[in-house]
Amino acid sequence: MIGDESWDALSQALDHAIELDELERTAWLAQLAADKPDLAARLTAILGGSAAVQQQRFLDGDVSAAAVEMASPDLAGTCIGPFVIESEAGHGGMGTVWRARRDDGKFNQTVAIKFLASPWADREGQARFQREVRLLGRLDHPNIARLIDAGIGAANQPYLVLEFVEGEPIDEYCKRLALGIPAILSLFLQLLDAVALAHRQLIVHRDLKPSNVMITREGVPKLLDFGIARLMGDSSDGEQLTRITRASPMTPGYAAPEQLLGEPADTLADVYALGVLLHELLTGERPYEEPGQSAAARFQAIMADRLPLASSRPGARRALRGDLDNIIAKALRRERLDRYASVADLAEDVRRYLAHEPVAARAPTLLYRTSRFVRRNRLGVAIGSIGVLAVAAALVTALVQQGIARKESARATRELSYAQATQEFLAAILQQGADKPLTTQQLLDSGESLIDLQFGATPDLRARLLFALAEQYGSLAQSATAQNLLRKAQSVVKSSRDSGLAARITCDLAESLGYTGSADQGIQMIDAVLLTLERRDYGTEYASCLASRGTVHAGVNHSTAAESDLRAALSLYDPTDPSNDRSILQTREALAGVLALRGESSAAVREYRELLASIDQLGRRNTSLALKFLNNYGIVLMTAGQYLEAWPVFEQALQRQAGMDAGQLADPAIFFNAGGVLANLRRPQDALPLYKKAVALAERNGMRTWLATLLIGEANAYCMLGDARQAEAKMRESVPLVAEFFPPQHNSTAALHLMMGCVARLQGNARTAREHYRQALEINEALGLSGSLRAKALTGLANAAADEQDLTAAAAAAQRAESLARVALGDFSHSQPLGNALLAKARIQRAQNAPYEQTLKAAVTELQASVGDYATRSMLQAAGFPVL
Amino acid sequence: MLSNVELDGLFRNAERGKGVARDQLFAALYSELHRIARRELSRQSPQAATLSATTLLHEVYAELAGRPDVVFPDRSRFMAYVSRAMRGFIIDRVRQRQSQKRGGEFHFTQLNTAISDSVAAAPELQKLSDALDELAQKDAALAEVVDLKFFCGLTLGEIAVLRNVSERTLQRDWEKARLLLFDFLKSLE
Repeated sequence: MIGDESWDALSQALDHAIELDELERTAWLAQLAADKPDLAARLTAILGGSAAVQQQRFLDGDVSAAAVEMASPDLAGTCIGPFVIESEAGHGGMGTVWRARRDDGKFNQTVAIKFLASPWADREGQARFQREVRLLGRLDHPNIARLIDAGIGAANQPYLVLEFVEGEPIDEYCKRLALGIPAILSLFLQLLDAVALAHRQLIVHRDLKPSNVMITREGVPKLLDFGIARLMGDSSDGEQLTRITRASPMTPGYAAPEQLLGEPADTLADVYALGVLLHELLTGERPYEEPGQSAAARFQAIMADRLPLASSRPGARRALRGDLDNIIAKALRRERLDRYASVADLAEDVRRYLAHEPVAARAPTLLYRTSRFVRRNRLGVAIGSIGVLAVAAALVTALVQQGIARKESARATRELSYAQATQEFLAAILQQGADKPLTTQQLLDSGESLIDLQFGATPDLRARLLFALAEQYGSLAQSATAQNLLRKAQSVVKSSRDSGLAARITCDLAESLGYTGSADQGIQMIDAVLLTLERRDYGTEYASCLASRGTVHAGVNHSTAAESDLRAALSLYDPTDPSNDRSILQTREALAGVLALRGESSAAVREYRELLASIDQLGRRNTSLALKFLNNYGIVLMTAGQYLEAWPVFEQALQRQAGMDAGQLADPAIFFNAGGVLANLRRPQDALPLYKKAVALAERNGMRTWLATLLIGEANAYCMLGDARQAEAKMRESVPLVAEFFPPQHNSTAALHLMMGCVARLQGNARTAREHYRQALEINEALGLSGSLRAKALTGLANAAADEQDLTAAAAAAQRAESLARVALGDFSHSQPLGNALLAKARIQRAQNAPYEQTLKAAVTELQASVGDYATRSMLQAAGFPVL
Repeated sequence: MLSNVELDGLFRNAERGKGVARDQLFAALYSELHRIARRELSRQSPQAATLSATTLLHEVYAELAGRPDVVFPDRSRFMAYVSRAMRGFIIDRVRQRQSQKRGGEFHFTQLNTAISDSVAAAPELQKLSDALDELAQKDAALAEVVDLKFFCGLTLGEIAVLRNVSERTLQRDWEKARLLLFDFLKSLE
């Protein structure tokens, strides 16, 4: 890595460079480059990694903690009672299993030894342990691995000695032998009989899964770990806290919904797990599992009881259709009481199937209330489940996955009770919708009073639910309602001690204020929060506040500040925590928007494509978030002057929005931007109806900031249509609104001036037009906005100057427009701003009686590629060139 | 367990700067780490066994420094030797665990986020280790900072005290080491 001869020089130079700040360093390196170019180049390369080192937190933290849990001890040779441990036999969720041997002359026996966590240390615990063990010891069935012995060893360490089973897991066995349906079912029946026997003795397995069902070399199925989940999880009876935090071992893929929610599991949880197992054995896949699907999305589907039929799996056997589909579905019902009442009943149905007799399980002719609800009101559920439920889902899965429940029980209790509260809340909302059709709006509106009613006594939960509700309003761009809810949540949370939640609420409120024109106030609020928030304890909250501040900065075009906040936020989110998925996506999206605004369109486009792909992967394709990303991706393409490419994006967005049946909750932005693309494709007559829709939505929802922007677009479209009267009317409406909501230095103000320039030219007032274009240019320059935006203003300026016969100024402006547009191309090969600049240039050259054909040809090439033939012709016509 | 005579010899030779002796010392310390880790862990319940590298490091020091008849280098030199051995110990542990992981099944245990942030897995750790070896040839002290901090979990403050330098100096060394290693690893991509 380091050239030998110059190590000392490099080392010393590096010491020096590290102490310098960035400016000093650049200057110093430049100096050094003159003197020792090789050394300077080497140093520059090494120091170039500095940002990445910081951002990736390269070598931050340490591996020592991780190595800890890995350093499980080697117990070989240790004696446990009469047994001598030989080797490690396996390692899983329940810790390490050891293979041990008894060889005392009388017996020669191989056993498996499992050590349990030690909640049994006190005398009462030990007595309970002995009781449980006696119970398990009575479990005697040829298909259940026997408990041979148990005891409490040194350091109060309880252990179990179990029959050592050599074999392969049932799923691998079935796959390897390519067993047919009858063979699988008869194997499965043996299991069912064993489980049924255990249930009769009141022993529940709670962790049934293929690795606990081994098939011996003789082809005999053996169930492992029966009743052990209980020994490992339960510590004491009674207390409420343990009911929630007791995280008995389970495997999420096989756990029943009630287990996922941290509720006690009984025999019906085993019925569920057996349903999963049967599904897996027959189709090769577990129910609810799709490739690339997030844990949260899966949880959501499980909780909504939306299980596709087993036979609908790609490649599933046709024979599954009908009875087997129904049997599996009945075992897998979300509600315990809808499942088979016992394992014996399930076994009975499997037997009937094998005997070609009618089974008890029926296809659900009666749709559940929830599924009826889903059909009637798709967006309602989309929002309900995405918002309220997904919060719960993400929390629960995150907790389960990380086993936090054990480590941070106070926090975990809080999170779990929140998860349960959201469940209750959702159930209450769904009940409301059971009798009469409700719109999403009505659901949300009733949400607030429901929350107050149900959770009035628990400020933590009440604040969190209000917060979640406000997020929903926020995502529907109903800022005023969102802000009211957040203010309410803010005052509620004061009486709780959850300072992380308080921070998130305030930062969300600040972000929302940014959307409604109070960016400065918002930024101040977040600054204040960040000052008091302990970064170490509230990393996620800290990150989300930084992201909010970055978003507010971006909204007022402070792109440098925005970028640094957003990047800092990204470096703080823990990417391994699935509950951060959404925040990370949103932050990345905001960052991509900032890049685009600054003119780094190619980078932004790449990032958006990745983001859209990830959101699809997360199963969130049909959400308002995905729609927002699609919309903003379209905006990036528009900003880069790629209208031809932008149109299908908006077409898709419009379709998806219609598919979501959003009605009055539709996002006006999509209509507005789609209209903008059409206007630039010279189809203003198609754009106008879209604008009108957007304006109506914005008006109805009191989105006045939006109204300002929308009016600019509408006026622009009329201007392109040549309707000076309408254009001016809209312009007059927009001016005071823009002044009210946007600072003089803002891209919306620049857009206003561009539009006013267009109107002035249309009215034959070239002087005024020049003034407006000049102002637009100044704003864009001052804000450091994208080159294509600046090129637009310059092209307008050139045309207006040409109108006035000020050809020298016109030519200069057109030339600058052209070079800016060229630089702004990035990875794109053509763009509309470049075409437009060239078109203006050709027009001026013609007026100067200079050769212009070459320029015109180039303009046509650019335009055809970026706006298509139709628009090209229309633009040529407007510029007074013969249409080709 | 190493006899005192063996240990004494290894330390002396390593201190005299013999490369081979150094390797032998690392190997010896590596097996001591194993032995002491096993002993410490078997004192705890196997289910909940926890032992941080930092604790292990101090245990090893306490044990070996307490041996009679060993001419023992000072604490800081000693830590430098053990931290190198610890690196190998941890990488082997990570590798071992990863090879035991079976696909398809859900695992409750996750790597510490610190790992997944910076270096994900055994092959990555191995690359880092190679880079450290190379860095050590140029500047052993710099590589030791990384061993002590990243692999043994000591804080920069602790390392500064150990080395009797200011924390600021150590901070600079740390930055420098990170930059050089990052540069090296990048050049491998």
